[in-house]
Amino acid sequence: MERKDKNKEECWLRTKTSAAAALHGAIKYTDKKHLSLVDVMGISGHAFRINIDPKEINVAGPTAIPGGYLLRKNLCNLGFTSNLADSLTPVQPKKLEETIELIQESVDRGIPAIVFDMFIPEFGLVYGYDDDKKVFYAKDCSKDGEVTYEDFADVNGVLYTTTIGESLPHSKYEMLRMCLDTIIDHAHGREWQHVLEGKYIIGLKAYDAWINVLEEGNADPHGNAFNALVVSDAREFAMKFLHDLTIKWDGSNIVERGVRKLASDALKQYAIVVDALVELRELFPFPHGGDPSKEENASIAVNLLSKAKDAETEGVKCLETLHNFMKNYYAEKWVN
Amino acid sequence: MNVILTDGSEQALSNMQNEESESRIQEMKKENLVHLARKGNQEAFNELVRLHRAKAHGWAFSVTKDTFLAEDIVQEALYRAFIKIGTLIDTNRFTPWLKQIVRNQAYMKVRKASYRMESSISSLTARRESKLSPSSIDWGDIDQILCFISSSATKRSQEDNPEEHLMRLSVVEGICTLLKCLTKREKAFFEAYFFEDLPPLEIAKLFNTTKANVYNTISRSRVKVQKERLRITIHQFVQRKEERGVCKRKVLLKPDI
Repeated sequence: MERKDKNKEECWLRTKTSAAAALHGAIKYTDKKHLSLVDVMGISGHAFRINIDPKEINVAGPTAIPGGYLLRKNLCNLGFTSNLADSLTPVQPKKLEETIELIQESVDRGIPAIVFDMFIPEFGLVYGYDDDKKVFYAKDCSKDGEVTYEDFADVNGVLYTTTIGESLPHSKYEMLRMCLDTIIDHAHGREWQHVLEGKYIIGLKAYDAWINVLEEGNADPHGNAFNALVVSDAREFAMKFLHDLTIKWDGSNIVERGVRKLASDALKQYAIVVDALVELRELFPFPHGGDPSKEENASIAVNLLSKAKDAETEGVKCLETLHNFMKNYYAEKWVN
Repeated sequence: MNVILTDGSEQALSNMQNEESESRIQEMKKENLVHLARKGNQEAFNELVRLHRAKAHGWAFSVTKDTFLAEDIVQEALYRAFIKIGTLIDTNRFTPWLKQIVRNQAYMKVRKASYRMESSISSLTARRESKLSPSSIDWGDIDQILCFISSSATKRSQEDNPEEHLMRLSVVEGICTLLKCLTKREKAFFEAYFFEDLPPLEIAKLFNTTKANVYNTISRSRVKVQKERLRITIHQFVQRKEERGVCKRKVLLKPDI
């Protein structure tokens, strides 16, 4: 995967974080269609996420999240109410009916429903249904096609869907505050993990977990490469999101100017994070993954991850300053 | 006595070997998947993600619970016979009962009427209370089997995890009610189906058998029954929607993801 060029818009239309891709895809059908994928990656907090398996950096890391909870929180940040179905399987008949109804009701309102593992274990969208054929029309990053109601229901774990409810008139101020809240909580591991608690490590500590696995020589080459791909892609979006803040906030009042200044401070740190992670991605190309067990590679990787962690720690501090500022604007004039 | 002990330990040993080879197969399967995924095989990659996710969620383990395995299998065989006969006899009469069980309304009733349910089932079990131990049951008599299972479920519903046991009870109760409504000939059909699936000897064995065997049987039958349950639920859901005359098909523009 090539490094993204922040000046080329076509570089910012696809992401490896399928949750954000699905959110963005669904939002296109609402009155907030003006939000770009960069906006969605940033405001939802997905651009700033890292979710690491501390045993071998397995491939499930990026999607091993409490999806129901997280996607609803993401939608909240973006200014939507939402509905959730997450019945444990084998699903009770009544719950199955209600879940199908929830999806159909969303499609009837003209908005696709967010689902998981329709064709591959990533987030996707259901954008239509046909009761005569008993099928959903679904799309994810791998495929566009029909999924029978039966196949949809026949899953292990939970029968999941999130649908968008009402669109609320959030201002850009509120959106920024809420997104910073999410980003900072994630960085410090203050995020509800449900059954995944302890099994996957999130935020800044995830870098330590990753480093530890590499030092012990336990990295699964394939999973290691996939995580490098997803996290580096996410941080590229984080950098672009911060870059956009420094341009899109117009500087016409003190808050606008404050956001520009503080976002550009954070941007400098995230640019370092991106450099390190893109290099890591190139060292361990997906899918074959290179050779993380080779001592030389492991040591380069550990350096890159330490560099990324240090810069991100500073970056998060900048975002905390921005967050405090957004909660408590300065007085412009103060005669004391 | 000695003979039995030897038998048991051999059985246990072979089970252990089975379990070991099972996990070896799993491990080999995983290695193979990793190998394929690293070469860019998307299917293998998906399977790996699913494996890890399932492991992290611990779903695979919560599905099978130790205590009621044998009863589960018998119950599911009853359920299967029940579904088969449903396709043969008068559907008008059958469907309401099927609905009652398939939709498992007991779940809703649990809080409101657990006392009522207990008393209704106890009238059924009272008659044969003295006989209810696995060793004394005639496994060829479907009424006795139902009695045994429902009484066990009733007892346990008063102990741990009452919701689950009341649900189990409601299924048995539903089947009992169904059997009462069947003609002699229909009941004979039902029994034929049931015992074809699970012959009396087999059932008797289940209650003295090794855990591994029970696990195998249950996971096979569970999958079948669950699929059938889903199929019926979806069929009824679509049918009811059609009766209401609401929108049957809607397709939005393809999303750009």
